[in-house]
Amino acid sequence: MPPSVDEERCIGCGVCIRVCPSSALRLKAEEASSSEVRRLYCEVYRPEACVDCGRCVEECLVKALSLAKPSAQP
Amino acid sequence: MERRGLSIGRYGLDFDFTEYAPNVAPRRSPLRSLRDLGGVERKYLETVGLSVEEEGRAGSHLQQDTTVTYTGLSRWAKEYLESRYPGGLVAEAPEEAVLKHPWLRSFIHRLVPIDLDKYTALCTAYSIGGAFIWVKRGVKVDLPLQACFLIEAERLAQLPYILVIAEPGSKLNIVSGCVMNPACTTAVHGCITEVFVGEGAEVVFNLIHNFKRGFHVRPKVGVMVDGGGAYIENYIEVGEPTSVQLHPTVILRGEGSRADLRSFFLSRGRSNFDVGGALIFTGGGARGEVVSRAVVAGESTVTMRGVLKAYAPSRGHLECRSLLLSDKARAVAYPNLRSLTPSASLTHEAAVGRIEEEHINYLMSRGLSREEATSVIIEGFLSASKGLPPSLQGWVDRLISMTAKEVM
Repeated sequence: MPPSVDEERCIGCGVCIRVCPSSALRLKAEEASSSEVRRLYCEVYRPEACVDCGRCVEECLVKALSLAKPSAQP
Repeated sequence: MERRGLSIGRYGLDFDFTEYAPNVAPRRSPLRSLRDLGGVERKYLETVGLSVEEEGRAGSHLQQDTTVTYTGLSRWAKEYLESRYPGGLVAEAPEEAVLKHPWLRSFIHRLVPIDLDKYTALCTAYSIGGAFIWVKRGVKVDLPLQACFLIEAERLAQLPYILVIAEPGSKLNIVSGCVMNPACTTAVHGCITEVFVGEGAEVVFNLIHNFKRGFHVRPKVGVMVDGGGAYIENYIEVGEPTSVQLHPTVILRGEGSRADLRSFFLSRGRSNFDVGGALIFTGGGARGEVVSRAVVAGESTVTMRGVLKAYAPSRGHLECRSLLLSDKARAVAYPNLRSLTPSASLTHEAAVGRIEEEHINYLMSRGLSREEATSVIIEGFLSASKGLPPSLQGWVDRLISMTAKEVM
């Protein structure tokens, strides 16, 4: 299960991308800006590559990433 | 377990914020020019480097208590900069700027989280004044912009917000001087500053503070640097505030980006300083250093914190040095280095101690008195500030002469 990203909280530092062992994440630029300095945020662009290791969640500087809890067995 | 979140704050002496309020100051009339400043105010502001004539300045921003009384470009900027780069430098109040440019909402309170600690929460909720500075692509503002903050109202919480956006290839130098009216006995100066440095841009931020006992200072600085960009911050305190907490945090996200954070101060009386900085390297080939040097006298306490975290091949250096001048002075250094990649090189040097008796004896054997020998050693300690811009050397010299008085 790939992590979910809180885009409002993400500061686009790139820590998660550096620690991801399977290159499942990348930085995406926000479009609505008149400045040439763009706000970036993390995006899961290869969810199938995620190995569910949780390193990105552990290292995120601003707690913008989270892993969904496994659903309880019936 | 290691705490998560940006390490911009959460340190330093705690105090009761409810004793201070952001709305106790009267509204002031705007000034047409800095020359309209009263003689007394002018005198205080000049102690932190304000040039009323705006000589050698690109522009000025003045906030008295909670009112921004003057914002404007200097004659040089109007004649030279505006003709060369029309609209290339924007300086305005953040409240107006966010209405004019709604896209700014994506940048405001992005790097310094609102819920970081009680200071950032209150700064965000009650922020009044501050500045938005926007330098457009390729615009080189060679002369510094001066931003001055004066506190005159008793028990005021002065909480400005500063946002700086330097677009690719631009250059900006800010001299921020913060000072109080000596008649005011206690107040808080808390400021949130967020800086975005674009590709190949350079931002130099010089903070000159002059606060006396009874004042609490909490500037929170968060910086993001893109590829090839550079951020340089120099902090000098020439007063004797009750407490200071300064921990700028720079994220070097771009390839080949650079950051230098330097602090120089004399801690005396019963001051409590908690000063340092953090560099987070996520861009390959990024480099930077955090240098803190303090002379600690009286019954004061200095805590120096430095954090270097490498997630990519990078080079970082951390230096925390304190020189103790009295038996009751206290200094603590917390260097924190963490590398998640084998190709990063992080180094540190920390030193806390008194002046070696052997060094004093050597100088005394050359004909100097004990006081003179001590002064020479302190001068050497504070002067070894390589990389400091020449414009700041005068401030370091002032610190040296203040320290000499402390020794005599």
